[in-house]
Amino acid sequence: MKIKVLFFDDIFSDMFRKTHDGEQLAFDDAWFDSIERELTNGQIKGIDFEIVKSGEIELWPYLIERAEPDLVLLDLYWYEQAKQQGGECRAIDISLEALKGIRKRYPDLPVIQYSVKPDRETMDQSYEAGATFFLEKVPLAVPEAHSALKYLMIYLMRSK
Amino acid sequence: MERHTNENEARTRGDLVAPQNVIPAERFFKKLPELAIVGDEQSVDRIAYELLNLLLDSTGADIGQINLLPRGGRVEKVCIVKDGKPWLGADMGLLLYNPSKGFSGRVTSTGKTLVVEDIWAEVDKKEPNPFLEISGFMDRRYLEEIKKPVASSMFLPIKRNNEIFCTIELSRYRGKAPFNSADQAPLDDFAAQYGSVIINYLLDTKNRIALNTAYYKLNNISRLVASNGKIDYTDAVAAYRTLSAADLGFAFFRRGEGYACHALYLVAWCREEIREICFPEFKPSEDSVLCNSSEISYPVEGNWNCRRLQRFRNRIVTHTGIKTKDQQFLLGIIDKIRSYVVYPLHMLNQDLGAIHLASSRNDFCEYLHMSPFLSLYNALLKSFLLNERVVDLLSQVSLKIHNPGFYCLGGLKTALMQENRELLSNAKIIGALNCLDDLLTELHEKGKILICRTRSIHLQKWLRAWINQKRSHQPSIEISMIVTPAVPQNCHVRANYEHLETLFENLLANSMRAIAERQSHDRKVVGKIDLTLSKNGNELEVRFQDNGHSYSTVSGRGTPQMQAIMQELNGSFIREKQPYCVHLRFPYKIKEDQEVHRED
Repeated sequence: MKIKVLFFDDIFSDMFRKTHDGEQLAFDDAWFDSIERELTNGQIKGIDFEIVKSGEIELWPYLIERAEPDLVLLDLYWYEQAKQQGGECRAIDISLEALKGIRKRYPDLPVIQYSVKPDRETMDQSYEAGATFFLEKVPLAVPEAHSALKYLMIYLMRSK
Repeated sequence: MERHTNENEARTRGDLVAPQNVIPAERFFKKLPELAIVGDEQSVDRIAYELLNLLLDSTGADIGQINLLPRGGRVEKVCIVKDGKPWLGADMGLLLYNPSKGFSGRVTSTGKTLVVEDIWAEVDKKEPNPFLEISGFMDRRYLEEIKKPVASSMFLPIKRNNEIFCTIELSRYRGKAPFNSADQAPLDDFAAQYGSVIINYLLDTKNRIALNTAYYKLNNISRLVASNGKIDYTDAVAAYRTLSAADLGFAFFRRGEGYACHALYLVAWCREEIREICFPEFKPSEDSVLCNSSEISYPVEGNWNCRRLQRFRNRIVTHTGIKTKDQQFLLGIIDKIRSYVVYPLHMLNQDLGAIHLASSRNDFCEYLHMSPFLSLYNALLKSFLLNERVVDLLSQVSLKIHNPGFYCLGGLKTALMQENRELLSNAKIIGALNCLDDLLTELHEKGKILICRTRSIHLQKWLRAWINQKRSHQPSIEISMIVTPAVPQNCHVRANYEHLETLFENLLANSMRAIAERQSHDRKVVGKIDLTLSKNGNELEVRFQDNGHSYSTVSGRGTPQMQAIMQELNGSFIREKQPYCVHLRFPYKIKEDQEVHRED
């Protein structure tokens, strides 16, 4: 089974990388590397993950059409993008609006949304917008910390 | 509103007309309740028009003008009547005049009625003619149609206590008998007896209308602050434009944090034209009114060649990140300014901006200061801006803890795991890390307390409360709500109060305009607004209808705003044109009794 994951996170965006210093980017990059390592280590035979990463959430219609992912991973907060649009408070709204759009156009496409230390209300909003699953983001750059995510993706693909 | 012209016609024919000793004020007062019924700008025009007609009829004058000059309010020509018809149009840009110039200026300084035999004579009572001194700067059409045909004029001051807050100007066409003391006496009596009452009423009506406008603007801003929406600064400035004597001005709104990295939103206006211009990074000079550390917390007066204004001009000239059209617009305003008063918007060490009220008239500062009501509006706006900044700051704190805060902590744990896994079994180290985690989590949560949240709202109850409130605000309008039997008892919609208020306040404002439009043709019509709440499939529908007439839209922003909100709420907005009504459809959920009781 091949699982193609379209991974939307603001840490991949040029805007984020231009705004934050190298030390902070190193944390973020190490975190992503650990996820990538966990998904692509070939530990489970017969299941291959492919990750397409993007920091351009506003291009989701084009990217989904082009990449044809089996699953979407979607960060909740898009602070820099919201700031650019003149409303820092809308950092969550950006991803929720994209999620609503994805759900409308692709009713069966699994979308896992995540955030550091989510609260119940945020989770409710995400589920109302159409998330298949909401996870807490663990900012540890240790591959094992992400194995639950891997098995969850496999489960979603089996029940598709 | 036809004017009685018998006396004028008699004068034109050259008949002898006996001077009237008393101006029949009761004719005006009898009409007053009917004139004020609509309660919008038309009421002011009608009252002023009726007053001028009465005076024109009683004195055999052909052209009349009412000039308002309240301290801290709009100084303007509020009405001009020529041959019994209103001459002044809102789009004529003639609202400006300088109360210290011309014959009106002479009346303002002496406080006495002035009779002039010929306003075009080179010399008036051995003094240079003050009208000729300023006629070169006057609007050409005004000069051609209002001033050129007349000779004899009378200028009447209207006082409240010792303050002259209005002048009335009456003129006769050249060739007619000039005004004399017999004409003046009944006018002076009328002015002394009724002048201040009538003009105060006129100003009160104007202020009441402006107060309603300001009330809606402030409500809009408070809802925007509460809904995380972007504040419409242009809208917020409307009160300064309509309630002050400033024909030119700037409103500076500073956003963001820290002295160095403030963004500046500048709303500039020149008469009817208004523009919002953003300067992403604007560092004010150290003694600028925009800068809180300058310790200027009082209104600062200035004129066209003062250091502050010229410094601002230079900044606009040298600023590279501004569109040419915007730059020209700003420079055009600055170059027109002759006097100004600038009010800093400072609160709790926060420099939120400044309001710069300006005029193209020289020595005009005393009229530019804010009226008590405008000061109140200004204070409330300042509080809203502070609220907005606090919300921003808290949100930024929360986001900083989110990222990089949690990432740094994660990085520390990762490093410990990679470098010496055993350290993570050490109770002291784990305790310290947990403590740090708890602290960051708590701060992160606290940073989110001022966040806009949607909730389950019992729409029927909310609408009843809203309608009751509006019935007290708009007692002249009948508002009713019918709930069809199919509507389930405990159905709730997912929204926040600001969403609902914005939707229904917009619909109400539209209906009020439509009703006013119909009443302007038929004053006996009672305004009615009917709401019907019904169930439509899986949605709850509110049908909103009034008995008004269609009207030309003012801004056209209301409908897109309502559509955007309904889309955000996963509902729909449907508008029917024949007859005009709006349907709002909300997805709903039935709440269990237990949950409902807990909420109640």
